[in-house]
Amino acid sequence: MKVLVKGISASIGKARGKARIIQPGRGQKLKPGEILVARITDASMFVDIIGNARAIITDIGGQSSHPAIVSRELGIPCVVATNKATKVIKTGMEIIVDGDKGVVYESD
Amino acid sequence: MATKELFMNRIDQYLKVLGQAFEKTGEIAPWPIHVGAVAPYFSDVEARDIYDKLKMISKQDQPKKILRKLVVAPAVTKALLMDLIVGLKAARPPISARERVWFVEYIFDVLEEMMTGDIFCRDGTNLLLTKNEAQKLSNQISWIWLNSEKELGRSIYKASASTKSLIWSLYFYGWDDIGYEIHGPYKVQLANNKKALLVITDYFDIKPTLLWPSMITFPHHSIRLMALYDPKTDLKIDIFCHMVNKGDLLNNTVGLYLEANDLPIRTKEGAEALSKELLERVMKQHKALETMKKEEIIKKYIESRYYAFRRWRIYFGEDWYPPKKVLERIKKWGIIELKETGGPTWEELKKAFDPRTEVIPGKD
Repeated sequence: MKVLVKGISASIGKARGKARIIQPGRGQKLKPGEILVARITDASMFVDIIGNARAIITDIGGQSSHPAIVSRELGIPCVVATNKATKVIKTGMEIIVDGDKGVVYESD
Repeated sequence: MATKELFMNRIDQYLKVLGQAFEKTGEIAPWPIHVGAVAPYFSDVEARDIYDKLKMISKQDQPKKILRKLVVAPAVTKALLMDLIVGLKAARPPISARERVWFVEYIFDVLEEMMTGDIFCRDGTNLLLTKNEAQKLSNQISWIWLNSEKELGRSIYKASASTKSLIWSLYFYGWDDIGYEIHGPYKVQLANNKKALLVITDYFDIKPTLLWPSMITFPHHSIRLMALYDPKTDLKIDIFCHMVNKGDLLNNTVGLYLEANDLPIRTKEGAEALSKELLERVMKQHKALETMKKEEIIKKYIESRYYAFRRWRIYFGEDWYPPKKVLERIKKWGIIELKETGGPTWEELKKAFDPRTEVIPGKD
């Protein structure tokens, strides 16, 4: 499998699904089961977006950042500090998130 | 704790844990604006005022008892202290390094009286209750056991995260502790003799009508989440009230308890309805913020700071609202733009948050 990005493992678990790049303030919606890709999530990004996510990937952040804390509470994988997820991953791309290793793959 | 750390003075300990907490948070996206672009308007004026008030209170009978009532909560006191230290250096008339150290140490003393554990959370705990108080509380709670209630658990956590969203929309990212505190983990014993870790997330001020008069119609003034975790869960709380753990929290959760306005919420429908109500309010807040000019957002940010210190001013018979001098600076100075790098590095901040130095961010 092709590695798309690597980052810090912020919440364990594995998930496969379609990616959606979300930019704050654009009123975008996340369909249930999609994987949220953002520069960072914060509490200003509504929880109903995050609440629908199967996994979260962010460009920045750390182990105690907002996406990390929320994903551990929701029990979904999360990879933060990838630096470039929003540039490398495209909306609609089928991806696999390995929250244990902090790696995101392109699905075969 | 390493022997060397035990002999560090409290200011060095404070700076060390701040550095660790900043590192764990990683790069952030300040919302709606960077604290560094707001602090210059008020921090010198605020610090001089709070320093003078602390000096006066320290000469009164039982000063620490008075101060315990004036500070909102330990977490917010620690969060506000960073900008206060910078403000003390910029204050006029000047406040000497010796006086600044006295001020900071005095605040640490007050925190020692308010907390039952390490005030800097160096052991990964933020303890406000005694062991007995935590055990008693755990015994009194009618827990929702999560064995077969994972979906309910998810909805309860979602309601808590939604409350955090509201907190951010009210107090912004810089000083969100004004409205909430996470404390624990407390080691407790359950009725079946099994052990657990108790963590309490207390959203104690989610209806600040003084700050946001539009919140008058919001039905909840407080929300509290209590969670019991498997005792093997690697769970830590840092000085920023951030919970850091290995593994996912949901699967390590043994029991949960959620209440709004002191009334328990025990069903998935109830928790989801609460989330909906909270998120609708968050959206209203966001809409309000979208219509505000940058100057108005700066003003609101400053108001939230003065709101956090309101009891100090009310105690002296003063208005809690930011003084004219501070608000006029917004008009006079215009908007302060930070460098594209997004503000100072930790090494610069470390010197800035050290009351013994004269370093002020942005002043070379």
